[in-house]
Amino acid sequence: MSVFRSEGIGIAGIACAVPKNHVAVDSFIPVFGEEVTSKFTAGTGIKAMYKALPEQTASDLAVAAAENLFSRTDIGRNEIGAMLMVTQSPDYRRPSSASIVQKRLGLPIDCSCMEINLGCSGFVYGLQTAMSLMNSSDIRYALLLMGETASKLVDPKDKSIVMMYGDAGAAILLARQPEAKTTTLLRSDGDRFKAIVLPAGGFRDMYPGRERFVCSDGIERSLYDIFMDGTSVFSFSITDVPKALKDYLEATGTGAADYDAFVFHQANQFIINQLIRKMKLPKDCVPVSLDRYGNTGGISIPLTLCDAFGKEDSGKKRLLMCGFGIGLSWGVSNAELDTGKVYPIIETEDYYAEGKFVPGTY
Amino acid sequence: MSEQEKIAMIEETLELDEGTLTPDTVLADVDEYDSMAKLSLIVMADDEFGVKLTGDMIKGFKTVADILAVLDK
Repeated sequence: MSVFRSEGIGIAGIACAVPKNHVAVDSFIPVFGEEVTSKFTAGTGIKAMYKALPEQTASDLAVAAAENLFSRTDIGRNEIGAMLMVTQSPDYRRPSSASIVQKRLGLPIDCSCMEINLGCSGFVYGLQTAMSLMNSSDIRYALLLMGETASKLVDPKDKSIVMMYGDAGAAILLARQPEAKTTTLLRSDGDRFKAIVLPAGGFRDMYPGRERFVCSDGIERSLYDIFMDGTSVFSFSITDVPKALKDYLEATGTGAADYDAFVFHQANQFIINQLIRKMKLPKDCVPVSLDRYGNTGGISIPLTLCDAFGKEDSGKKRLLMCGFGIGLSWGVSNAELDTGKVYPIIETEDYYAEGKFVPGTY
Repeated sequence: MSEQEKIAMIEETLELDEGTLTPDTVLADVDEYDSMAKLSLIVMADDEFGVKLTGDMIKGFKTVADILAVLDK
């Protein structure tokens, strides 16, 4: 089992940002009809989400979250020794968005920066990677940034997912905390890479035709649209994910009573309910944000933390967190979180106008 | 468990009246057999029979008998 242990490093701040553009599921009634939209909400629990403006990118959302985080802490930008940017919605094909974000946040040259291409498992993977970098260095602070604008990759007529994806950004500050102990379990199954896929635009098939065809779920798409094999992903979510959670509890010698909150990737309410039932968890200890923010990929865990604990300081919380999805990729981790360092979610319309390249000007 | 008991469980999962299904019932003809019903079927198979239904297995189901055959394993 890939189990990672880290001591002396903890979360010292979490801030999240969503685009100002609020979209209610009801607003899709003229497109799909009331039966489809109400059935969607009944099945997924999603009632609304925030979608990025055309100009707004994942890195804009991550930067907004990071600026909010910096405004609430005394830690200087020069003290950040490593920055990871987790996204599958980069600004450019190259360089990685980590470079753009480093420049925009004014992080020093001595800050090591890189991008991690992961979706729904990205928070758990990113957290562990940042901790590993800190463990093998004398870096005092690391910044884990996340951004996603999956809503831009969905065919507007795809009733299976157009009302599901919300956009968001997150910034998580890691610091030396002598008491902190973290155990992380990471898994991946590339054999199921086709379960969630966007085939066009990568280097395997850069510019295929845009003709539309009927997929196995009966919905029409082109190669440029995200496809999700819902039944396979669901089957994964209620079998492999609880298995990982059980293996994690066994590896750490802990049980449900050792945690104050269980924060799951906000895939949909039906999946979360199955996890609660299978793991025999108290429902009150499983915070949910997807009803108002949709499925925001890997950001859904920090977003749910900001939603649940951002408004007031409710002391320290022992968390069990689990991210799972595209790859397929999944992971489980714990944290003892000082809720006084978790900040309310902000809304932003900001975008990096200078990031747009104009032919003949460079 | 008898075949009839299994059919009754499938009917309950799909929220159908008892006696609606037979082994020969074609699933494509059952309105209630939609995407959410398929998810409920995955849960039922896992809970009651310890059988993991994959997306490919679900796609292969043409009749109620196909589901019964998998639940037997």
